[in-house]
This record gives sequence, structure tokens and C-alpha cells, in this order.
Amino acid sequence: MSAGGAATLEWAAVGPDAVVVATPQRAWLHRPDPWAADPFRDPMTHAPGDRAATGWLLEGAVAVGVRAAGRAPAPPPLSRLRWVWRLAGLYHLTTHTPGLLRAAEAKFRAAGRDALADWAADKARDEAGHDRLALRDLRALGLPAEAVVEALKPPVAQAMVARFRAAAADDLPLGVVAYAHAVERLALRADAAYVARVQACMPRGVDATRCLRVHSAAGTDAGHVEDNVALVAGLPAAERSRIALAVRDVAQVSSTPSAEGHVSDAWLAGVLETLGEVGQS
Amino acid sequence: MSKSVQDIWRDITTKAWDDADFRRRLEEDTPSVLEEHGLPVQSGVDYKVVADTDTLRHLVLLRPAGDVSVAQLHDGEPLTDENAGF
Repeated sequence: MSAGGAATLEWAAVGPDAVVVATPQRAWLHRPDPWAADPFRDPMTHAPGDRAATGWLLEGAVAVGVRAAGRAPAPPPLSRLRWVWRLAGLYHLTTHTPGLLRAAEAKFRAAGRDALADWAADKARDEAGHDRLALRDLRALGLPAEAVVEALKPPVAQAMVARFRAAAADDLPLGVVAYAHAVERLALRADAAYVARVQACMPRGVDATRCLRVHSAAGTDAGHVEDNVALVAGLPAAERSRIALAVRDVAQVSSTPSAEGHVSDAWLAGVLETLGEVGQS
Repeated sequence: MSKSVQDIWRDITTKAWDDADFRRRLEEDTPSVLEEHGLPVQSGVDYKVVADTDTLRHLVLLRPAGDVSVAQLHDGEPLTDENAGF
């Protein structure tokens, strides 16, 4: 079918001056033109969405969100110390996930939206226990895991959890679908080479990448992304548009560095040293 | 409340329907007329007015701002040592 066939075209405003237009093969960022009779000014209305085009719509929304975050200051080089900070962030991201998904499932069920409720229930099961993987990784590094995650709360992870919590509180928590999709799509950027680079920073014989592997291209997130796209494609156009906008928002929050900048290695080392002293007392 | 581009373009359209001299100037010196009516004119951009008739319709093919995908975000570079922001 041609790329311009009405049933295979998806578009959604992802900002005041940004519309993602998608075919089953690609996505464009379109800047609405106030001068012209713009065919993308009005929201799409057809349902269901084409599955491939919906995938590209969400892909474009993620990319626009990351772009909107701008270039972050270069992070400090990857090291065991920095990885502890990342693991703390992964813990905080994952520990609330099953509960918030179950809350969303209840809202979807109450609204009579069984497909969405089933999706949330399946995902709550799939994501259960992933916080424990982060704790195991921290223990593998010889650290008091629970104390570490209590002391280290990366601001962006906290902002993401706040966004997730707010989405789950909606009467029809479509933002939860958007949150899951944005996070899982971005996780796919971590490929096997990246996992190997992290592993290379760890002491010999230490496996501290369990949580990363699950949330990488080598884990289950690739299948989850496909499931998310299939779910969204089956929704009414207004809901697909709402999810695309929320995907962009989550991707931006996820990629926006903390206003305070990256924490220093010296600060991190100081925190861990304090925890070590507490653990020994 | 300030007028939108569409508000101003409606005013210009009806004025051109009503006033042949204005229409001629609009077609021949478009940027000046647009500026006179408070429309933002960008330097380096040409503006062209075309008129529909009973036997001719103009369709504007909009410009795309470019492809967007996650894969192209890093211009082929691998992930940095930390995902930004975490």
C-alpha cells in the first residue's frame, strides 16, 4: 500500500510546534505551517492505527523528546563507582513499577478497558522483582545494597518515578502505557557491546549487570516494545495521539540532566565510605 | 489580543478581492505587504502569492522538517558511559 494511504498514516502533535508524521516505513518531524492549509493541523481520527505506522509514530515521539532535552554535559567516564550510581537509579525506577502497573490495571478494568488492563497485568508480572536484580548487582560489588539505594537517589530517576506515579493516578491512565513504552524503547539503546563495556569496569568475576541485561536489547524489552505498539495501534485515534504526546514528555524527562549536573566521583566515594563505616560498626 | 497569521491572511485575502491595486502589489511585492500587515517575514525566505481561479487550484506541498528516530539520535555513536540524566 502506498505510504500516503489514509489507513497507514499516523500523526500526532507532540508539542506546540511539532507534529510527528509516520508511515509504516519512517517518521518525520513536521513543523505546522500557519501559512498553509496544513493537512496535519487537525488530529487524526481513524481507528485502529496501522501497527507499523504506529510504531514509527511512537519512535518519532521518543526521538523528539530526547532531542528536546538537549545535549547533556558529558558524563564522567564509566567506572565501578559510576555504575553504583546507575544501579541506584535503576533500583528506584524499577521498585515502584509493579505496584503502579497494578494500580493502572485496576483503573483500566474499572473503565471497562480490558485490553489495557490485561496489558498492565502482564507487565506488572513481567517487571516484578527487577528491583531485586539491582540490589543483587550492588551486593555483588560488595556493597550494603539497601543502604546504598537509601542514600543514593538520582534526581532524574526520582523525576521519572514522579511522572509514572502521576500517570497512574489518572482515571484512564494512558500515560502509564506511554511511560512504559518510552522507557523500554530507550532501554534498547543498550546493546551487547554496551553491556560488555560496563562489565569490563567491574572487578574480575563480579556480575553486576543483571538489571542492565534485563533492561537492554539483550533482554525482554524488545518484545515489550512490540507489545506496546500492538496495544497502542488498537486504540482510538485520540488515545494514540495522547499517548504519543506523553511518550515525548517521558523521553524528555528521562534525557534531561539534573539541574545540579552530574554528581562527582568524590561525593559518591564519600557516601559509600560512610556506608561502609556504618556497615562495619 | 493579537491577531493570528490566519486572521491577518483573511484580512489580506478580502482586501485583495476588493482592491485590484492592492492585489497587484501583494503579488509583486509580497514581503512588503506582509510586513505592513504585521506578519513576520524571515530574511532568506522567498514568499510567493498564487491565485486560484475557476479553472485552477493550487495545492501546497509542505516541507518536512526531517526524519526522526531513536537510532539516529547519536549519529551512529554508541551510548555514552551513562544514559544522560541518570
